[in-house]
Amino acid sequence: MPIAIFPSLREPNATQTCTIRGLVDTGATGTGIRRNIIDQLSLPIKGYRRVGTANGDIKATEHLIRIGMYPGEYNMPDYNPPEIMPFVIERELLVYSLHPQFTYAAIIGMDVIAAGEFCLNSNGTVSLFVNT
Amino acid sequence: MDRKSQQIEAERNYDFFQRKLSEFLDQQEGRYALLRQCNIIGFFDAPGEADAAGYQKFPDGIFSIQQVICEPVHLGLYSNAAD
Repeated sequence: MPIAIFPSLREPNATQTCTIRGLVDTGATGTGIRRNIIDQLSLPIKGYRRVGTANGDIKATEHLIRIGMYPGEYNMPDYNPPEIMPFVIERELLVYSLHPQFTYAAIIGMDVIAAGEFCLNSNGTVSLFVNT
Repeated sequence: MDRKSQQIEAERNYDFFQRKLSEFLDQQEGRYALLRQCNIIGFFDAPGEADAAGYQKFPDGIFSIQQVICEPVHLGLYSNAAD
C-alpha cells in the first residue's frame, strides 16, 4: 500500500516527504524502512534495536518518523502514486532500518496495524482502518 | 547537529542501556528511555515525547532513545530484510 514518510516534527526538514510502497506484514512486530529512504530524508540515528533475522539477531539503527496514509483502494501490481494529501498519524514512530536491496521500501508492522483495525476479507482483499 | 557525534553517542548509550536493562525492565517495560552520555535522563510513554524532551534539554541534539524491551523485533517472512 502507498504510504508517506515524514521526518519527526523537530527536524529542520519536517515537511519533506517520501511517498513509497509499504508491505503490511502481520508477522512483523515492528515497522522498518529501507536504508535509501532514511538517507533521502536525512533521518538522524535515534538509537539501536536488536532485530531477529534468519541468521540470528543483528543490531539495526532506529529513526524517528511520522507515517501518512492514503485512503483508497489499491490493487497491486497496478499501483499508481496517489495525488491526494495523506492523513498523517499523530504519533511518531521509532522504526528500524531495512536492507537497501529489500523489495519494499517499508514493512508496516504490528506497532502500526494494532493501532487501527485490520480485516482480512473473504474475497481475498484486506482492509486497514487507522486512527489518525 | 553533528551526525557523527550523534551516531557515536547512540552507540555508547545502546551498550550502556543493554547492560542496565534488567534494572528497570520490571518498572518501565514498553516505555522509552532518553539517554545522554550513558545516563538515563527519563522514561516516556512515546518516542516522540522522549525526543521532544531531549531537544528541550539538549539543543545540540546529541542524545538517544531506547525502548525498554528485551525482545528483538521480528520480521516474519522477511527475516532477511534487516540492515
